[in-house]
Amino acid sequence: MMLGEFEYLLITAAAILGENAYGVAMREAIVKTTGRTCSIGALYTTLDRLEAKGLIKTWMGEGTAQRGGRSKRMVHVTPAGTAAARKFYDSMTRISNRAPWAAQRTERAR
Amino acid sequence: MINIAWKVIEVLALQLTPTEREIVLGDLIETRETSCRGMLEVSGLAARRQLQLWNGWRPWLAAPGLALPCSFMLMGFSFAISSELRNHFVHGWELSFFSTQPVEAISLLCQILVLLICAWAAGFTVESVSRRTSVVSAICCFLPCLFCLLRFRQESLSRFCLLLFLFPAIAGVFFSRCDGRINRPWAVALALVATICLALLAIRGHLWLLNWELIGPPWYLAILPVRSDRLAVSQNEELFHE
Repeated sequence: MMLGEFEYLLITAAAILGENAYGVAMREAIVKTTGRTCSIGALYTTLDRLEAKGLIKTWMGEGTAQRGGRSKRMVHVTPAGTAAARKFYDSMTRISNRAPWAAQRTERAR
Repeated sequence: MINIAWKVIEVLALQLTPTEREIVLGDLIETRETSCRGMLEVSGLAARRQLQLWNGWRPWLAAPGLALPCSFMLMGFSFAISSELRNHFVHGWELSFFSTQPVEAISLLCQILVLLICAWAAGFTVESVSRRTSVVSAICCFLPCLFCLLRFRQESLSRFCLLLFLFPAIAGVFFSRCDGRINRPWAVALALVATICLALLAIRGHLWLLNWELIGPPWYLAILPVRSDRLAVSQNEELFHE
């Protein structure tokens, strides 16, 4: 199962955040790292899709005072999600290896 | 966030499921989004959720499949009944009408029965087939009304006579919304009465071929209790709600 780009971003953000992965934290991580905006609509509809595919698991977390006592939607990446993200990453890395924009980076790494 | 703006956001969030509403409003509080941004975010998510509903066949059947054509056809019946009744009221209502012109009387009675049964059943069916898209179904029902009301040129009748069918239709919607069930013998009886009435009107040449679509909702009600579909409908609604 090949992921879409945004799906990959969400799975990666959730994997990095670990036990603290939930809507706001994931949005912040994506905005900070990629510089692109992430709307609440895009976030939650994509999370639903990923959950339906069995790539993540979500549940209601506890509310905090910071959120006015309202619950969070916590996210956990399943083994299938990890495998799908790894496959996406490998494919992107392989195909990018010999791309002109990747050449400089490879040179620098050497 | 300003209080009024927050109230607006809460109202917009009513389109979401209770769980999702809780999460999204919590997110907005935590990120301290501006009121304008908050409204955009909530509306965006609500719009996406609405669009997702249209991936299935149910909203398509309910809105353009039933609400729109039934509205047109039932307006025709409303107009025919209103004109007929007006003629009798203008010339003084006489009970002898039923004995002197039995065919006309039966025709009028058939039209009234078709209007009542089919409008009620259509309202019930549209609501039960796709509850979450009832706003779009309502728009599909009211658009033909608006179109005809604006073009109504009959001076002897009020243009609102076209909307007679809305009373039983709205009653059907509320009956469905209150999880009303109709038992099968009654549903079959109603469907049979509607079919017979339509057949009689067809024999008299008072029926347009497309009017036969009106028979769909009453028979849907008659078949509904015995089909596994009913379960699918309720499960579908549960999924949409939670």
